[in-house]
Amino acid sequence: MSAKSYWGAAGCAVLSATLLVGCDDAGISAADPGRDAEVQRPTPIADAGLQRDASGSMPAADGGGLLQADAGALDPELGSLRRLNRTQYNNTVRDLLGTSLRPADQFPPDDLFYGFDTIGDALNVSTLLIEGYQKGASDLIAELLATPSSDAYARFIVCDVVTQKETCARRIFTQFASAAWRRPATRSEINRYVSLYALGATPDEGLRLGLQTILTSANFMFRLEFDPVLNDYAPHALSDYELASRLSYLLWGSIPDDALLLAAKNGNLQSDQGLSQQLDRLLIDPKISAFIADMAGLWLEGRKLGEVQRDPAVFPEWSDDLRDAMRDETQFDLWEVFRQDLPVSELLTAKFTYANEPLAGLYGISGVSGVQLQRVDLSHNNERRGLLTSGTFLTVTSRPNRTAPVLRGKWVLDQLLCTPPPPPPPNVNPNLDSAEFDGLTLRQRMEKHRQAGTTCYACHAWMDPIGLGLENYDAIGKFRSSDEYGAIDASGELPDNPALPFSGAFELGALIAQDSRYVSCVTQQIMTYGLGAKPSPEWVSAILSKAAAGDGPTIKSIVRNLVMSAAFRTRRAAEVQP
Amino acid sequence: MSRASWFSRRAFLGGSAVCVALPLFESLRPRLARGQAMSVPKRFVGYFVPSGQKMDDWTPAGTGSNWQPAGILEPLAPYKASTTVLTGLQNTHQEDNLGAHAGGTGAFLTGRTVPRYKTVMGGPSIDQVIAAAIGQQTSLPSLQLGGEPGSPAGTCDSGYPCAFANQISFTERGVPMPKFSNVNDAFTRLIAGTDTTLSASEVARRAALQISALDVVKEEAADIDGRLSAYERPKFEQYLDSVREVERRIQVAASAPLCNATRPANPVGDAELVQTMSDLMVLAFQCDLTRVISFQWGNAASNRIYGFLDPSIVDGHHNISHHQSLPGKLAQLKTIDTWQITQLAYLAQKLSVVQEADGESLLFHSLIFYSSDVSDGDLHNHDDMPVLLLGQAGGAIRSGRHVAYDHAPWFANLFITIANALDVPITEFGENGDAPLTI
Repeated sequence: MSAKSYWGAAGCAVLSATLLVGCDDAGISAADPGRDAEVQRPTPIADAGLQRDASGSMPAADGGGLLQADAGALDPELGSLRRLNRTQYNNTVRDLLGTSLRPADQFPPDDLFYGFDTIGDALNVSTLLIEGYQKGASDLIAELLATPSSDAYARFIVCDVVTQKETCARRIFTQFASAAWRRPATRSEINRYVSLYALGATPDEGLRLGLQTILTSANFMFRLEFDPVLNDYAPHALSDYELASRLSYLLWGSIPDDALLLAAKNGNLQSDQGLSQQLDRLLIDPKISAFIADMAGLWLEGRKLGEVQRDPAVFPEWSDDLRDAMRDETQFDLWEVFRQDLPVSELLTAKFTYANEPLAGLYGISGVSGVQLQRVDLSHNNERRGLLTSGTFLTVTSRPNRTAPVLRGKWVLDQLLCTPPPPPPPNVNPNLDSAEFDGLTLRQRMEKHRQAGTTCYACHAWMDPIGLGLENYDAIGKFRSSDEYGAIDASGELPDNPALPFSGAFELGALIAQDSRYVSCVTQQIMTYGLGAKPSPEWVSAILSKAAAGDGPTIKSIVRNLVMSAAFRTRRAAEVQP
Repeated sequence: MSRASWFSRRAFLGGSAVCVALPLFESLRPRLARGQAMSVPKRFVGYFVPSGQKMDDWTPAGTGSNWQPAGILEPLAPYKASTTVLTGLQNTHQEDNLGAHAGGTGAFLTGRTVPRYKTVMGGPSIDQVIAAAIGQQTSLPSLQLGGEPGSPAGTCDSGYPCAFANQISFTERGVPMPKFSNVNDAFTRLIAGTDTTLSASEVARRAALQISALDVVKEEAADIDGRLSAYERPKFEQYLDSVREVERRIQVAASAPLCNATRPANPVGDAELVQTMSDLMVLAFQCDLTRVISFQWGNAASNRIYGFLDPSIVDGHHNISHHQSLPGKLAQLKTIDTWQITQLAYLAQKLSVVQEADGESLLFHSLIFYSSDVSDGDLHNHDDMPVLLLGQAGGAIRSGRHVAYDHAPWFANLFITIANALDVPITEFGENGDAPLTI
């Protein structure tokens, strides 16, 4: 391998050029330019490939005062159009039809990119997906028509198709399509469905066919956004309905409700006041739980618990109940930080959590019984405080039979600081079990390894001291004072310039909570999820600078500033790269 | 000519199922009219196992016919005559030396490097090129199966798009094709739509209605397409392509052979999973539901735990594949690699007992390409790749040999040979395929 390309692509800084020997025979030269001779502060990666247009030579905005305010400085380009992902599809049909069916559970999985399943560029369309939409539509419409007592039936089946035939079919289709497509359906669009209706052997069959087809339409599958002038790359304001969908899919992962559609219809979303009113309303609606569940599942990786396997010989207490409780705990903690509008730093320093009996047992907390999670005060607890002591984090970053300090360090760098280290170069993996390490603790083994090989050093100097500081927690998050090597030394360092020493999870949590990279990273994660594309660093900074008042940004303040930013209300078509 | 003769030979999963061919349909006539009444279709499987092989136990000692399936390959001994081991091939690798697993997985059937910030390949996988030629008469042009769903959270190899970690088949436009990793879903899709209670005219009437509905969807989509930005249109073309393919399938399905088979029990454990997937492959071929399959046993850098083979294996496969030359880990890798070949031999056995209309076996008429994303899991190298072929593509492949190449031919060269053996006359493929490989 080429060491130069490795460093060039990834950008860990190297401690000292004089250490650039050993570890790998691949010809790393101490004189190789482009590497600094000191540890730099890892900063969120400004990766050229992630920024489609950093030229700043965007055409002048012509959309009125709103755009001139700050859109000129921020590129609102968001890549490819977004289709509904599986979660959004299920939420959408739930809110549209009041159904408890979850047809998208049978759809092919959505490919993740940047850790999220909302990324427009990665949400491809396959034949299997279209077949899934057909099956879903068939099941959903069958249920709708079979339950005349339902709200959805009353809302959509507004006339008797058997007696009123096409006139009625047109009314029903117009009503249904305008809800399903999240904007008024036009007469000419509905004409096609009325023609389809006429092909049915009976009025009922025609109605069923038309309603099903509305749910396989591209207008349903995609959140379409159009440009007033085709292939003109100037930013322009979103239409009322486009903006309504951006808002509802960001916060609810679902379709706009009637009130939001009405606000769009009346043009209320184009004013700061009108948009702000709707935003406030959406933020306190129970459907906001979709946002929390996705952030807990994807950003904090609670969804990964589902695939965790533990060696029963080492962790006999590992169980599905424990797994579920961990996943719920992460959601509940995030929910409370959100609902109470606490600073995002609180996630790392919270003196509360939620636990049920199995989880409290794992945590050594007494007085919790039953399977329901309940709020637990951690004010006087010396072992649990914040995200870094949570079962989810500690478990999804471990291996089946032991902890993996490197993975924990990497997770902190990836998910909390947005400073991902590059992966290891091939064939330089340490043999921590070989004879030369006999008698050493895990910490000593890893330190010896880092010193022995400097290709490894630079990045491991970031990762390992974070993870080693968390060794008081085993591979399912149970507290321990010693491991198989002896008493645990929980001292560590958070990479910075200079590195910040800490001891144990509490101090590490407090350090990260104070770190400007953390709030920037949280902002980036929320934006990436909500926009369905990686935002430019400038956009992240702009949102953060407005959100960071008082004790620091809260989730709501980040979301609020994102939604109210001109760029969120603006669209610019992406250029096709040659 | 009796199609039933090769449908009804074998029961699926324990003898309770029978595939029944309907009388010949119009759609099958063109194939028969070419004077090939006795011709038997050829089949292809692209079979992926993750994280390389323990190459010293993979590579046979002798060449030509002078070799014995030993080491990892020993389970193939009964099928030596149908096996062709090719050593010394290389596949594309990523420029930056990152993403060796995602890169090798995306390249597995495409012979192309993987884009870092896009989720669409620069071209199709070879199974799709083959399917475009020989898969158009079956209800599914191709079938994508796998042994693992994608991870539900997190990033994939080095932050590469997970599209290239979790899929090995890519359409003509390079769009990743999702796979079934659940036996039940795959079975439902394979056997779906065969409602035997309906009259033929009712089946046809319903199909016509579905086509009309898709026509509406297509007309609508054409309006939308004209209003989309140039950057977004390719995404929409995916939608249009898929709708057209669904339409084609509805048309073909109305005249497809009926295949009655018993739904398999939900597999318990990995051994049952891979064997049930193999049974599904045989069923799909036997009933002529498809002629092209890709099978991704594990996703890129899979950390499947093989403790069921040996209690001492507690770590994940990918972790073990970084063996650091430790004897213990190498022994575990050999155990895993050998078990995987045992599963391939299971498939070979199932294919070998199905007799086709010409008296030869389904295995004889099939060609299975078996390989991985990397060669050595610790080195992440893409040269000296572990490659073997199983079956003879109806006699087009001279099997039973070990061919060692010293000029490092590309996978793409081999893919041209494979396509040609399956009567698909291509002359170039992928990034490096400019000529077929002589086997």
